[in-house]
Parts: sequence; C-alpha cells; structure tokens
Amino acid sequence: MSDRISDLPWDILDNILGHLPIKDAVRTSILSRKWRYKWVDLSKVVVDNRCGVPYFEDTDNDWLNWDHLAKVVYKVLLAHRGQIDKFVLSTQCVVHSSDLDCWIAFLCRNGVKELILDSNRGIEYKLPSCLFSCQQLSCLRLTKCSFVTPLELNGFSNLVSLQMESCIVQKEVLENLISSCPILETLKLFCSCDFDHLNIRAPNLKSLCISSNFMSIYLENCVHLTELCLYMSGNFNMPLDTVPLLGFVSHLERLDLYGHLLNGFPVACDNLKFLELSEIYFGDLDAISVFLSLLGRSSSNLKALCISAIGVFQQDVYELMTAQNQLSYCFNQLQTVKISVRCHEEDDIRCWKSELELIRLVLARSPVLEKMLVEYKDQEDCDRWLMRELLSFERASAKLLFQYSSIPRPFYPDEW
Amino acid sequence: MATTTTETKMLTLCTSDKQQFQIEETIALQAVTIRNMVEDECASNVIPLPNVNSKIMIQIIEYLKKHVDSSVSKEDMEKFDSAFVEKKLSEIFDIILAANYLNIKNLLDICCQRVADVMKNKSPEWVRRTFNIVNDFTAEEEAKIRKEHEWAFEGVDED
Repeated sequence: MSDRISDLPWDILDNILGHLPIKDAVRTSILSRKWRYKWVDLSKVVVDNRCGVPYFEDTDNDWLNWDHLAKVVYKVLLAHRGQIDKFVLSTQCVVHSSDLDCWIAFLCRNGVKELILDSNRGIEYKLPSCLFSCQQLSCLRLTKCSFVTPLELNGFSNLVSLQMESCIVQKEVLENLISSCPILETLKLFCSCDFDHLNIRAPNLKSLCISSNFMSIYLENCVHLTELCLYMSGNFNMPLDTVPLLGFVSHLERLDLYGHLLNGFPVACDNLKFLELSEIYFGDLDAISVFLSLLGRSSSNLKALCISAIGVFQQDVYELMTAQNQLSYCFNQLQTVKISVRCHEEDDIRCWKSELELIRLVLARSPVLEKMLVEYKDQEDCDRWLMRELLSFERASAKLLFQYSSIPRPFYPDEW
Repeated sequence: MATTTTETKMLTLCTSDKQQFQIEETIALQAVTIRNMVEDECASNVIPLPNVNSKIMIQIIEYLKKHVDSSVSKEDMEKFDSAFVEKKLSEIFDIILAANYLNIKNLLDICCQRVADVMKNKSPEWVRRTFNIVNDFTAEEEAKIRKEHEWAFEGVDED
C-alpha cells in the first residue's frame, strides 16, 4: 500500500483528525513535513482527560491534573489558526473557572458552533455571560454548570440542540432560555431542579428527552415533535383543550416513558414506530387502557415495542387485556418486541396472566415479527408453567426468533 | 416493502470501468451528488460516475440499501455501520474518496472515524508504518518537534 493518507483533500483529513482527541492530532505534526502544521487548522478541538498526562487518580492531586490540562489547552488555542467549529472539554478534573472563562470567551469570539462541556466533578461551573451572546452556536451540551443569564437575553438564534445534565438553573431562566431559541429541535434535560413544573415553548422542537424530578411539564405549541422520552416522577400534564396542542402527538414516532406517565396521555399517536414503557404497573387500569389504545391506534406503523412491566394480577386489567383479542387490528410492521416482567409479589404466578395475554396478542397479530424477547425475574416455580403457556401461543410470523431468559440485572430503561 | 404495487422508479449508474448498476431511485438519491444531478435534470437515464469503480460501487450500494430502510432501529444501524467499516485500510480510503465525491455524509463520517480509530493513541512510528508515511525530517528536526509538544508524546500505546 502506498501513502494514501498524506495527500487526502483537506476536508477529509479534517474529518479524520476531528474524530481524534487533540493529543493524537497534535502528535501527527511529527509524521512528516506535510503533516507539520496540519493540526493547527483543525475545525474540531477535543480535549479529554488524556491531554493532561500524567493523570493522578488521587483527588489531592487534582490541582496538578488541572494544571497540566489547562497548560495544554492554552498552548493548543494559542497555536491554532482559523475557525474552531467544535470544542469539547471532557475531563474528570475539577474545572477552574478562570481558565474556562477565558477559553469560552476566546471560542465565542472565534465563532464556535458546537460547545460541549463535560465535567462532573466539583461544584457547578458558573457560565460566563459572554456565552449568552454567542449567536452562532448551534449545539450546546453542558454538564454541571450553573446559569444566571443576563437580563437582556437575546437567545440563541441558531441553536438547534441543547443538552443540560446536572445543571443548576432557575425555572424562569430555563423557560426563558428555551423559548428564546427559535429553531431549537433537540432538547435534553437530565437535571434535578428545585421546581416541579416546566413550561416548554419551542415551536420547532422535534426531540424532547427529560429525566428529572418534575411533577409536570407543559408543552406549548410543539407541533413537530417526533421523539418524546420522559423519565420523571410526577404526572404528565398536557393541555388537551386546544386544537394545535392535540395535534402535536400525531407526529410522534418514538415514545419512551415511565408507565405511570401514561395516565392522561393523549392517545392520538397514529404514527408511533417505537414504543417503550418502563415500569408499567399492570395493576393500573387507567395506564393499561391508555397503553392498549396507543397500541391499537399505532398498530399499523409500530416497528418496535419494549415493555418492562411490574406484574400483578388484577381482574379488570386481565379482562381488558383478553378483550383485545376481539379487536381486529394487526401489527403489520412490528419486528422486535421485548417484554420484561418483574412480579410485584414474589412467586405469584398469576402476576403473569395479563402480560401473557399481551404476548398472545402480539404473537398472533404480527406477521413480520423477527425477534421476541421475554424476560422474567427468576421464579423457579412458574418457569415451566410459563414456558408451556408461551409454547402454546399461535404465531403469525414464520421467521420469529423467540428468546426467553431471566432478567440479567435490575432494569435500566434507557438500554434498549 | 415487498407488497407495494406502485412502480418503483429506477436509475442506472455507470461507473468508471463502464459497469452499469440499476438501482431504485430512492436508494440512489441518498447520495447528494446524484440527487443534484437528477434534480437539475443534467442526467438522462444513465448517470455517469467517472470517479467510482464498480468494486467500490457494489459496497456503496450495499450501504445505501441498508440506510434507506427506515424500519431499522438506531441500534441495528450502528451495528451495521461498525461491521461495514471492518475492511482493509486501502478499501476504506477508496470508499472515503467515493463517499466524498458522491456526498454521502454519514458514510464519509463512519469511514473517517474508522481511520481515526486506527491512529488513536499510537506512536508516530506505528502510524508511519501503518499508513506508509515517509519520514522526511532529520533527527534534529524530529527532536525539536517532539520537544515542542512533549505532552502529546507521553503515554501512547506500546507498538
């Protein structure tokens, strides 16, 4: 093989080196004369923990770690020429705000479009006000930051994606921030906040993912939402009394919720392709009937279904479930199904009855089903009984791969 | 879908070695370069692709066929992608150049990622050997560069 890489067009080399942490990119300067200054033109600068070697795990040495890392970042930014489109800082060091303030100011002046700060040690880093006038930002990901936005917040007119993890922010500031990003499409919040209700006004929002202590959220005018993922403790309060708001769920393609949030959820989701419900309690008639309505309405589009159930036997839920067999819908596109059941009361085999009806329904009505995984929390006694039941069910799909196993570990809803 | 009754529109792609490939238009249009040619109507029924040979075209079509299928989950698509780039570096470079010319962004990205992964945390000597890069620095020059960015040379993998 000849040297193919050295003479690649710059765009391609920039793409390749942009996938490397800056340490690896800088090291290319020694490869040959052609490579001497390639890295200084990179459009992406990724600083990770390895940049500050030697890295000491010992927390007493944390200042030393940061010292190494900070010197490297200063050197890199000083030597760099041209635009830095993307800057990533991912470190286990405790961030020193005076250094980070200086870098953010530099990056904002130079038109950074993507800024990712990922450091979860120490106290929250207070974002400098210059960040909020950084109009060209299109992607902002923050971990462990705190906000006090300037009073005359202009908003981010180009921000498409916003992610906040373990951040400290006041309700008004957060709502104001979201609503002043007119083209925001993706919003991810993984924070526990000291308020329990959030209003989201983002007319172009396509994907919303919230994992928080909120009791309720109010989505205003999110008519383009296609992906909704909610892991919150409270209720899902959605205003259902106005037409545009009712319309928004009709575009949903991916829905991923805690089961109890189904109570009161609008069922007009005819376009769902992926439905995932975590910790759905099979004793909750209201939640189960919403679930079945969703299933029925989206039956013709559904491609994947993932349920982790807390099994319990309740007569009315069981009757509702068996009544589904009278209905005529089919899952013509359903390919993958995963159903995990953890019994509410150990060793009560009846806790499977309603879930078995669900499995029976899905098996009988899904002609192109490729994979079904049934997981149970180890119950020695009912094992054979369960398998006998499962084996007796009629299958509409000839190419189904059926897997039956015990739940490997406590369920983590986001893994599938 | 096997059951669709509407007539699928086909395009013919002609590679540098004059092989012709008939593929569904929806599959081909994922390549922005082809889409532009079709939209601008500068291509008749046969689209000439003088920068791509048939060997590479077969692989690119395999990739496009998978990615046009909206029923594939994100996870499965990632699995496909990581299996797809398990190729020799020389082939990866051919695909990179073709993907760049055809303007297929994700394909270009995953192949660039693959090349980056090969370089990651490796010594300069190892990278030179792997990519056949000829070192044209003198020993003094090399020592000077190493000194300049000492931090970047510490803690790399053993060759």
